[in-house]
Amino acid sequence: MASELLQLLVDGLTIGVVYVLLAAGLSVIFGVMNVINFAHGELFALGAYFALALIAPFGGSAFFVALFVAPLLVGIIGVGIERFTVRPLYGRNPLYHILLTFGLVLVINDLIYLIWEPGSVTLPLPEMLSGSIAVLDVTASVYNLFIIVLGALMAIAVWAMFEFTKYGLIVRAGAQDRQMVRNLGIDIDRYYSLVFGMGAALAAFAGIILGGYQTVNPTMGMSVIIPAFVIVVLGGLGSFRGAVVGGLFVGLVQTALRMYAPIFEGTGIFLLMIGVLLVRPHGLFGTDAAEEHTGDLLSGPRGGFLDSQTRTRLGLAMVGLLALVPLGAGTLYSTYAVTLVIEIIIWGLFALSLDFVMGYTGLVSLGHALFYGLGAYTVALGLSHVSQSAFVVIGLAIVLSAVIAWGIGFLSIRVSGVYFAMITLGFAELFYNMLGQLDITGGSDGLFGLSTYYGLAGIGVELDEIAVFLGPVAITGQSLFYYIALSALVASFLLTRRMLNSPFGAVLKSIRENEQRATFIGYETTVYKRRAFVVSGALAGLAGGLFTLNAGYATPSLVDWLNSGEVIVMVILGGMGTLYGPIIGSGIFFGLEELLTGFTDRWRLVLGTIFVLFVILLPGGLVSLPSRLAPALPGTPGRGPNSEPEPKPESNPDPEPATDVDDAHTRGDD
Amino acid sequence: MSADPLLSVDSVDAGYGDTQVLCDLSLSVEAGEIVSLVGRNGAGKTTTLRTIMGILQPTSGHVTYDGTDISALDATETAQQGLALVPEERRIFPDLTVTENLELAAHGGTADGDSLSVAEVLEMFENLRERAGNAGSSLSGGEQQMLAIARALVSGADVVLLDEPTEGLAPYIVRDVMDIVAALNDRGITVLLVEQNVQVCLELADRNYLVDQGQIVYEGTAAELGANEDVLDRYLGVTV
Repeated sequence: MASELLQLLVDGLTIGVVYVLLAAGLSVIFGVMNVINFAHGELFALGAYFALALIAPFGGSAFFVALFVAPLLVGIIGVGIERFTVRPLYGRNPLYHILLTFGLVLVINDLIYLIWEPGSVTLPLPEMLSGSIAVLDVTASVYNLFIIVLGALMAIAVWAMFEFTKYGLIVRAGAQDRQMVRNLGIDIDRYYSLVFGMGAALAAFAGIILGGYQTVNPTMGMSVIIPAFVIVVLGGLGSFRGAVVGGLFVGLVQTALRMYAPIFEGTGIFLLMIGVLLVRPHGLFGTDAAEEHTGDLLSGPRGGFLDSQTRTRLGLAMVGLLALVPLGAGTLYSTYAVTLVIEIIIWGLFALSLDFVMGYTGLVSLGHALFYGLGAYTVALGLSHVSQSAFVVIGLAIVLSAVIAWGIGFLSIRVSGVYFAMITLGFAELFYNMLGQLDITGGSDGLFGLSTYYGLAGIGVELDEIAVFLGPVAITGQSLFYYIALSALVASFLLTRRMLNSPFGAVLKSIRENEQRATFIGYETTVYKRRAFVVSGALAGLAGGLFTLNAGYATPSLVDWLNSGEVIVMVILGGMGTLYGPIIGSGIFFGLEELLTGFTDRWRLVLGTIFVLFVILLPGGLVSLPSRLAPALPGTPGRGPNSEPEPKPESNPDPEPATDVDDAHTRGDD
Repeated sequence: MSADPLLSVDSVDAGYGDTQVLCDLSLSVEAGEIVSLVGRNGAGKTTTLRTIMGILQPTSGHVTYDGTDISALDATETAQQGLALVPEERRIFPDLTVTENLELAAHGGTADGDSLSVAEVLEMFENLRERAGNAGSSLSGGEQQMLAIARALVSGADVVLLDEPTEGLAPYIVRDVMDIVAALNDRGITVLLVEQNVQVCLELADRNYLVDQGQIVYEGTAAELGANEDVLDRYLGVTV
């Protein structure tokens, strides 16, 4: 028993130390700069690959050199990333950094595939680290002990640097109140690059030591980034102590679960995170200081120069145009066009659902794929167990998604900002891992071979059985489904637009503009946010349900966090807070993907680069383009007479805004 | 008054977004003076300090310090010129100790061999000395105010912009704060003081500006302002 525990301790601490080093950088980068760095995992992988390249010509003994040179190189890359991509976005909502670093993930990951071979590689280790020693009756590999000791020393060194140096003092102060550090005449921005570089170097260091323990492979970054986020949130965003405690704890818990309760191996840490956040909304060592108000979300139509009538006409024309697509399939162009546009429509609906909650209440859900997958699996399970009727299973998907959204909303809407994003991500990952574990959901294979009919109580038709003839063109199967999906999208758009034009929608918008003031007027904003979340969840469930109806399968990969990231990308790409922007975003996303895959295997590299440039240059989304260009066009009025009213300059007799609220506001404009 | 004041604000317009707060506001402060800005809530007092400090950029007009135009400088650069802002909310770093708060200030501003060291400042502020190792968040309001002022001292500032230093403090602590401000001035530090408490201004300041609707509507010495009941009543609604 004692030896078993000791074994667990050694294994758990080995992983724990890696997590500590990874989470420390992530946490400090967030605390100081308010940046959620999804690319941290890729920097981790890059460290391992650099070490591989450095060791290759010299053999295992070069390991020790690589252990310091590779992090240094990655650190320099980190400084470069901060300088050229992160820096232009300071003062904006952390959401834009999510989008930016998401783009960087695609870029760096594809670069790794481009430069190194795609498979797993073993990192050569020096001979002196390869043996094992027996302590009592436990045999521990020398390398494990080496990792634990070195990692601990590294963590202590970082802690000491924060605690006892001028650099550390300034960074700590910056994490608490940036503007005041500036007021004291300290150029905090200069320190940001160093913080980012140091975080990158620590990640690289962690990547090398884990690479030596397991293997080096291109997906290693993706597989550690989510646990690393869990640790950061668990420990408290911005807290170094939290990263250390959380990292070791998660390492030990994961190892213990693998040994004693393998069924919880994937889900355990997410349950843990959700549990901790429910009791301590800011994590174990976090304070709400980390959650200062930062720049606003750039959402809503910024006064496009089309009046609402023209826009309605344009919308109708778009729908009309979309309705024509299946007619030419097979003759004018390949039937694949229908498949592609169905995907755009379903994801457009998914993106619209996210926009309803993100663009109108400011709640950034990082786990929206949960509802998409929930809808898909409800349809799949419904078709196998309840009814073959498409209407019944879609109804079930909508209702179940709404119910689950209410539950998750109830638990998570009391935390806001980044914590909300993380807790939703936690729920999604929990669901993802559950899907892979349970028999009823078909495990990691998912459910497939499903068929349905359109009708009720056994009376109805399958789409393949019927054909509608429009002159010489027969519309059948997928093309019929195309119209079903398009109708669902149009109906959802009209429904959400109607909601937003109601008093309910006015409250949602007021929450987005200034939640505190909405509270002061007497609205219980939590209730409104939860309702919006329920509507959003239900629509995402509908989108997922439509996917499975059409594709005939559901797999856990539908809930992958990359999908949650991609849908955010679409919303921002098109323009948040507009409802139609995200649909355009979906079109652009898949269109680009389609276009790029035709030219190159490295399309993610190009796509990622486009995101990075996009978020830096056009954060308001594509729909903001006309109003941005308008002033440059001679003779174009700024906006039409009937367009959305913009807030007028207040003709307030009291010109200085109430300081308590607006101080927080301007403070955020860092 | 000489032709060249240490700090001058000339015809400045400034505001937040579309909301203009300061309209053609001008004032000047001579070296070694204590000058006060009084006015109602929302008159533009804090905005004036923010604009001088560079947290807010003027949309027109100039801020000049020691013969240099500092209008375009940001807060960091302004602080490096020798101005220090003691904000209304004090903005003590909550998780840093008292000593660390001061050490941080010593890394910024114009701190050099001539300015007061952390140890010297702790010597001056008895109550801070006793709590040197405590976290900023554990200090009382009065102690936080003292620390905020002490921070400005350590940073080596020649001009201190004080935003409502007595706000929310008990009367006997208000007295302590006033003594500290007077002591700063005795060390040759120029003070621009924003206050709602007219009594504090009348007692401390050499000259007083009255701000209303983003403009200076009155300027006078303490004796002049104290005697001008019409102005006090019209712009402040107080009788002294």
